[in-house]
Amino acid sequence: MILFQPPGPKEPQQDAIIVRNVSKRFHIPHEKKTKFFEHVAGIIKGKSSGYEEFSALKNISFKVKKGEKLGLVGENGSGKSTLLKILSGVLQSDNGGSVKVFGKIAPFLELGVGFQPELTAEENVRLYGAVMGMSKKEIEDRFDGIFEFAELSRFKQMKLKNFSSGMYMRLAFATATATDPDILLIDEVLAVGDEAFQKKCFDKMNEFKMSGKTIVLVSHDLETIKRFCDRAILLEHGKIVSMGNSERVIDDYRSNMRIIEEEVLKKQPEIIVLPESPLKPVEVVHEKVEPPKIEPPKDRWGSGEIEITQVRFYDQNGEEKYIFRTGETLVARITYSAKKRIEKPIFGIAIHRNDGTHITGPNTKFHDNVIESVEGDGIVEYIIDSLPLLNGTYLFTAAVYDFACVNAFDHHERRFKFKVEDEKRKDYGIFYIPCRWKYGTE
Amino acid sequence: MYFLDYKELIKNLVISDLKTKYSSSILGFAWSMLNPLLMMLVLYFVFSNVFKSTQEHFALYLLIGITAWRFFAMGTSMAMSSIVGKASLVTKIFIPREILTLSVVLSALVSSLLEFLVLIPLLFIFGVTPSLMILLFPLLHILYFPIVYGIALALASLYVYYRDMNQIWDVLIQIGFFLSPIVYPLSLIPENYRFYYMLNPITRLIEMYRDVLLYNKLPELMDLGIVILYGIVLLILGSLLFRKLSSRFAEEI
Repeated sequence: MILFQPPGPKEPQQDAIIVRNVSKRFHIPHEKKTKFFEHVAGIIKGKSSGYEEFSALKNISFKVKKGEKLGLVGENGSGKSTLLKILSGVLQSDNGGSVKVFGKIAPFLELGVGFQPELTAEENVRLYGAVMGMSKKEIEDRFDGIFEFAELSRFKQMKLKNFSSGMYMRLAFATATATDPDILLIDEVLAVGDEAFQKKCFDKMNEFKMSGKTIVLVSHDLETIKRFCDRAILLEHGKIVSMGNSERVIDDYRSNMRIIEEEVLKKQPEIIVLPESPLKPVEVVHEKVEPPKIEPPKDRWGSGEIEITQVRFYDQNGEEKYIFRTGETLVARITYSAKKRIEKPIFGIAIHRNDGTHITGPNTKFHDNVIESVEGDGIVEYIIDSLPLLNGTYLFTAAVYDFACVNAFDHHERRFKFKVEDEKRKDYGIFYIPCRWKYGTE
Repeated sequence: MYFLDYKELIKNLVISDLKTKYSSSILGFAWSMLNPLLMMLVLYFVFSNVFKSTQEHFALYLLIGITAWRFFAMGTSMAMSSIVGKASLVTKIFIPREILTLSVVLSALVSSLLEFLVLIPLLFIFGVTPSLMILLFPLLHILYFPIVYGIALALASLYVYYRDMNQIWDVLIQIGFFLSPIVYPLSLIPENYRFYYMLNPITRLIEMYRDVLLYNKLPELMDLGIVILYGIVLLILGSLLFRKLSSRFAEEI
């Protein structure tokens, strides 16, 4: 139930939105019956129409103060958009929940709601303005301003169907923002049009911010939320898991994401040890046709006399880790198992960016670090004291060859993965190259 | 009430509805005139031999019946898709959803009024001089409106859940056309069925339209009362059903 109330002076507490115990369950029917006849048939046959319940929101309560900027963050499917729809009144909370809104509210869930392609721009502005709750006088007063802001004054009489998508969005944004609401609900619509217009949009948003409007913003762009909002709510599976200062909440979110991602990355391909048959070399085997054995994976080859049994990444403290910051220590620990004594094996690694760019490819021979011989199990560590790589996903190759670097004992081509995520180091490119800047006049 | 708070929106929706309705076809508004006229011609040639002797001004008789029926038929069937057809106004923004249905029925009302306006010169052409009774015509239309709107509310909300409603309704409209005294005189209905036949409020309305436009007769008070009663009951039932179903519109659409 939404109660629209004017922001009367008798309301001493300065809340703009009060949300209490809001829950939302969606029914997902096992078979969707949209036909009246199907229902009748279902009743006659006595089939019960089963459905599954999906809880999009569970017992959400919070308040938004007047003039506050609140950000909603969370993964896809965490319930952000559902919550925004309930705030705007499009969806209704399940029994027991209530949403109270004090003041004029303008939802920007989508721009250009109700635009009619057959009508002219002028007619559409009037229509959309009315949809957004403007009175006739307000529309007339702001009419020219809208077209000026949208930079479409010349196209007032053009039918909307002849507009480009950029023009369409500009007109919609200009009209929507002309409503001058007390409370704005925004669902990631900031990115509109070309760069110049995007800047204008952002300025407009800042203008709203400065003029003390209450704003609830849903965005995937965490930086925007951090910069724009005072407070944020982190939703996870329909529940509030963190609420408070936006910077803190975003950090919580980031570390949550990191934990989840680390978990995924930890599941590096478990290396299947094939004890009976040594790995076939890639060279063509001209033997008689044998019954097909377990196909060795395409990204792994070698004779198998030395097998690489595990590759793991660690930081300087020996903590297993897969997401690094630029400048951190990265240790790649390669565990091997030699079936017999092998003289002078050469261990090598390679790092590729996930777009295929070959970044580095050292081995122990190039670096004059050749092990005399190996037998049994052991480890080799490849250590980067200060990781120069910038944000991105990197693929790691580990291999061991004979001294001539011709015949592979075991080669794992780009089978391992680590990431660099550093919010502070935003440089473009692959590498951070230590450098300085100097200013002066000639 | 939502009508007053949103009168600007309702006005704009009605205007845009009329504009798209009339500007998207070549003949535009003319269609809305031609359709009942052509239908009248067809029915005239088919039925004139059967009923001509019993009915004076049979062409006008037909035309008034058709035009009056059209408001019901067009109003309800266009309003049925008023919610489903404007999904973004339901799922992306909150406005009282009744407005969407109301504006479509209002636009049908405007169309219907225009059709009746064209009918008036035809009265003179066919040699009928309307009396002051014609002033009662707007009253009839006002009484007609809640009946159409009430049914439209029920249909529009049901259509969100049952998408074959439109096919069912098309059939019912066809049946209704022949269950109303449009192509034949009321006197054709045997006396002992008359009571059931007269349960249809559109029958009474059609008869009253003919009374004021064609026969210069004052409508009977009982007919007026029954039509008002129908309007009130249908409007309340339609609104209640609509309100009950509208809470889950955004999910079902």
